[in-house]
Amino acid sequence: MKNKCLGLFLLPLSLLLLFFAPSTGDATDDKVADDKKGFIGAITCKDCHETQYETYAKSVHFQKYIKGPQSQDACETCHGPGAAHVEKGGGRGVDIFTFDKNSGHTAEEMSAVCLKCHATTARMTFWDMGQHKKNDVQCTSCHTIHVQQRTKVDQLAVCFQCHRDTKAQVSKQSRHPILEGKVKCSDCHDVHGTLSKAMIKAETPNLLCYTCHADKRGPFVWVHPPAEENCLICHTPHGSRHENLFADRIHVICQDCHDDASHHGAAYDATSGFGGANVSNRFVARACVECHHTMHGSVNFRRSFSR
Amino acid sequence: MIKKVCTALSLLPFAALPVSAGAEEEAFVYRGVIEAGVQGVDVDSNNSAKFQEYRDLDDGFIGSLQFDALKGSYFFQLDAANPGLDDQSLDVHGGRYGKFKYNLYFDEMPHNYSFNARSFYRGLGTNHLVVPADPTANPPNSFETSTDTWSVFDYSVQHKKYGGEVEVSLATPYYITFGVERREQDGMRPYSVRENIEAPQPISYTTDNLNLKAGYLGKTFSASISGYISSFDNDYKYLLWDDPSPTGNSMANVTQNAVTDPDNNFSKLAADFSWRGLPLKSALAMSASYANLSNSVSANEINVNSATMAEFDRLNRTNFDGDIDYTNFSAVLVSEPVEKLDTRLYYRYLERENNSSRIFYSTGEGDNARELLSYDKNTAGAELGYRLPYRTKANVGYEYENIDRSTPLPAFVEAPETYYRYDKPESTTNDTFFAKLKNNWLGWLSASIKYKHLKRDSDFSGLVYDPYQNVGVIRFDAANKTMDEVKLGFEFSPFDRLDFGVDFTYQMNDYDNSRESRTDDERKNIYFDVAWRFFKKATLSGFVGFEHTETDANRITNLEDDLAPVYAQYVDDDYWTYGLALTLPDIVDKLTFKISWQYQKSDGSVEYNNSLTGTDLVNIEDSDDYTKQTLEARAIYAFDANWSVTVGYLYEKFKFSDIAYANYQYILDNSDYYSGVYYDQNYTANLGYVILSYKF
Repeated sequence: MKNKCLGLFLLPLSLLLLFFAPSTGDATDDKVADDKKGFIGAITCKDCHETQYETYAKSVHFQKYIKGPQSQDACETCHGPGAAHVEKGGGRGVDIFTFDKNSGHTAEEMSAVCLKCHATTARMTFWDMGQHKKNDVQCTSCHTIHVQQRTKVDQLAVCFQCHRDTKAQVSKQSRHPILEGKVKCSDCHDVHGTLSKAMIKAETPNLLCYTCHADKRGPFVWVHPPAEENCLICHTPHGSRHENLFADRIHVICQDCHDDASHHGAAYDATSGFGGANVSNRFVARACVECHHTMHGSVNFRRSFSR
Repeated sequence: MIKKVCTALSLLPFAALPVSAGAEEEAFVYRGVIEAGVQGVDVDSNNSAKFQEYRDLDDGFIGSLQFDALKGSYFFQLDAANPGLDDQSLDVHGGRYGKFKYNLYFDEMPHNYSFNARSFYRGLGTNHLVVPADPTANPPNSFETSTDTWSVFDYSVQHKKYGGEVEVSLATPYYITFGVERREQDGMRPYSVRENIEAPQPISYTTDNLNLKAGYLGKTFSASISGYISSFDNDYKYLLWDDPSPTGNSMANVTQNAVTDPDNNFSKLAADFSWRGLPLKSALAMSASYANLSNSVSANEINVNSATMAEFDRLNRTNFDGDIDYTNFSAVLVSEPVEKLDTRLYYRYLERENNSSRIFYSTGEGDNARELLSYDKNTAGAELGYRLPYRTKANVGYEYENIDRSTPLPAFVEAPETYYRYDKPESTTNDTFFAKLKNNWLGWLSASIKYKHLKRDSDFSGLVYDPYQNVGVIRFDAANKTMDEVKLGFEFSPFDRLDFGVDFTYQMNDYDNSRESRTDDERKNIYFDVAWRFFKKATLSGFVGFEHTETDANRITNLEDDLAPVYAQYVDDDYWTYGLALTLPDIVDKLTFKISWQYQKSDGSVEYNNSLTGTDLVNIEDSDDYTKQTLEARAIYAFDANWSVTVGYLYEKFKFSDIAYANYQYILDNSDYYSGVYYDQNYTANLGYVILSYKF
């Protein structure tokens, strides 16, 4: 308990001390590159684009301590030199690089602007290999640049722009707590690219699921092979009409493999429910799971059917 | 160990102090939002767990805090939500730009399965469920026959997650990240201590995770190595329960032992690297990892009575040592060998080797060697993309995937009656081909079409895979099949402020050679959304989703007697959802109004064709049917730049209907005992709140 209290005390104290410590201000060179051809400087841009400049000034890009626009050529770091744009009297996309979807630039060209700085960040290591790059998703498809300090993406709003199927699934009656924000898309998927299928953050679906569902890891004495091989044989990750994220009605999904002997393949119909003419304890309530509750595996040494 | 690591982590920021000592002063900039309010909730339900499934919505105070601070190159961000509630969270980010950053978090969440459940057991929430004496029963120590005196409880598990991570780069290409985390779960989950005796399993899980990563990030080359250790501990590995044995046999009130989830240790070592700027505009990435999952379980721990002790005397060993290795290697090479052509070649290898102990009885009555699954998976693919005129892109690709499975003993025995589910296909090969065409020449209109074809072949050891032989049931996930899928997509923006999007998918799976089990399934999904931004910032958006699934199967009831299908089963599921959302910022001076509505309808059925035998089967009409309506409205009035008040209202109505829960009974035929989990989840809820916000 003492150790815990000590840690609780030290942590905020150290953070506070660190925060109020004087900074060096020497992280990057903040001189304005005013000797470049065609560059006009941010003040000129601001004359016409005041709203955009204001949001830029509140964004992390305005930080002179990072290798970003403010420590380079401000607006023109991303939009390119503005002299020709000004000479022609401005106008959307006139001799200036913009990130509009109607700008005529390819997704790769637009992302390349961001990658000038962001390519050397750990999260972008596998960007070239990911499905998003391959499918012409550019950085600005998800990230809004002219925003205030906070750069966190509203993942539900952004991801569902394209993943409409997932949008429909996450509100189903059986689901992960995605709408509550307790599970985020990025908890399971690395949107900036992975070498795995569906850009999941693990080598297999099971190794990913075990991150939260550590109780299902085993190793077990008695094994249910499909559960060991792939959770997604029985479960669907984003949402289901059926309880416990089952991919189908439970007795149906079990019978798709087990209808070979004994009661497995019996016909459970509308008369098998509570009060029915042929009520069956293998069908009512949680059906198969009422007896076979160790479907993920068991370490009970007994070789009984329910283990 | 975890405490030492936490203390070390908390001291880490001190280590950076000397770096900043003596530096010039910078202005202190801060901003944030404090919110405080009250909410009132009215829920009409016998079991409101579904309404509260992952959230804590009750009468009382609510609040949140967001605080950002900047001082020179240092930044600090704090977010706190729902303080004091079961779904509270605290998240702190901070650091120094270009040098280091840290993240500390605490996140809590309930998972409410079912409220007002019932059980004749006492000692709920502990690891010993006891049967109370019932003087009216005969024999007197049997279970309580009236549910009125049963224990009433909630199936609910509280999740907590807390930890921190530090990343240090010190403005160099090198970086190191270090994180620790603890996850806890406490509560009760549904379990069946014996066939059809539903009772709560006490949950007390702790998982400690530690990760460390060090890497180099260059313009063309990056590499990293990482380690991860995760330890899972279950405080209730065994659940003792008194067998009520209502039939009054010799086992009445004998204490039995249910074995729950075992402890385990997982460790992983990984290395990644990527190399850009190779010839032919190529980039290569590779990843390799080795992981081990282990545990140790003793049979003696579950010897609770003479019967199990006698049974375990026949075991070849009384200790189980779980040991599973995972070896992974992945490589991807992307290139642009000629202008407009891009290629992607990839290979993935995964080996899962189960070296866990073999357990068998001396009499040969059972052996887990037929179940200790190991497998190798090889995946290789090639994709080509070519940019055609008029902003059209064509993609084609092929993927080969092979899974080889093995167990210490063959899982298949050459006799029809032994063809059980775990009769494994030793090898499964998937050949997948796809072609995609996408055009966005018009800029405001983007259209795509994708066709995918999969052919799966399985090799069942010793089994002639012939549907017309008595091969029993083929597991559907590995059965031979052909899949055809078509996807259509449209993005339509006729005006700057109007966007439409439509996705349509048709998928057909034909399990070519399956005579029993699933024979085919078909899916049709369509999703549509629209967003219209009008006036200055007002937005009206709509969404429609429809999913239709049909799954057909032939069933046999007993392979020993039924060598041909007895009946056919057709599962038909429909799911509809649609919604509207309107946001009107500054509808009148300083007043913003938001309203959203969503409707969901799930309609399933199971139909039978019993002409095969003439058996009289009755179709199931209510199979996980439900409707859900959600209405949310919010008005925000800003008094000035700092102060605002939000008045909100939430309405939810959920109605569920399923044949397996209709006319629910806690006691069935005086032999089966149900606790009410998932029973009567219907609810109608009204929630109102007022929140005062101060922005600084």
